[in-house]
Amino acid sequence: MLKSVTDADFVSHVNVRGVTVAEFGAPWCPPCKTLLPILEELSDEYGEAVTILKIDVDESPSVAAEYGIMSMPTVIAFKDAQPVEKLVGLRPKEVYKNIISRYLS
Amino acid sequence: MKIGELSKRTGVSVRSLRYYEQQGLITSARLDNGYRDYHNLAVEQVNTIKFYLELGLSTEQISGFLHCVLKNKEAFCKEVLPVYKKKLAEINEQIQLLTRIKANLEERIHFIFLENPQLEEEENDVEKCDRC
Repeated sequence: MLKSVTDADFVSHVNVRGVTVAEFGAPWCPPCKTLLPILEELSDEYGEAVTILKIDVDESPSVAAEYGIMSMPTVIAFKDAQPVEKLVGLRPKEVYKNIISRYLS
Repeated sequence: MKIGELSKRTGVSVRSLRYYEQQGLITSARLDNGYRDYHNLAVEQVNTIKFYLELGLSTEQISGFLHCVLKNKEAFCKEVLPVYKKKLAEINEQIQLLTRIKANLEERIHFIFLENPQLEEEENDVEKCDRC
């Protein structure tokens, strides 16, 4: 399950230890709609090992501004609460998988 | 036959045939008018030369065993194996060199995309929505 987070609770959901993936999108953005089921699948595949967050940039403009979100979907991967990768636009599932695997080890 | 016909029958250019002759791989007689005249067997000889050139061997290497392989099976020409082994060693060296260059290039491309992710987006033509 993806966790929906906002400006208010974003920080508290980024894991201090381990990998967190945050998807910045909007309901009106078609590629975001395509990406969400992919992230759901990854969430199922990785289970507890990875936290996957979902942020609506229109509802949460300050966290979107903090991470310089100009286009959607943008996926940011965090390792130990530090942003380590930023992927703009819809990418194949493998791309997200590779990144998660890289930082899990 | 004249050089033009040999060229047509083997698919090797007239220029290359003259070069083979210069390198001592084929021979020709001369007609009164000075034109080259080739024996019928020249076709097979040129095809054999072509075959060895396609293995990456030089005309010099080929000239070392051509006479033998035209008459005998390759396995009975002792000059062939050392040439093959040498060529194979060279190719392995080239593959190693190319593999190193490939890895370096891939790494540099990865770092370019890491430093400037926008380039990767343009390259992959990814689907995205811009915020206004």
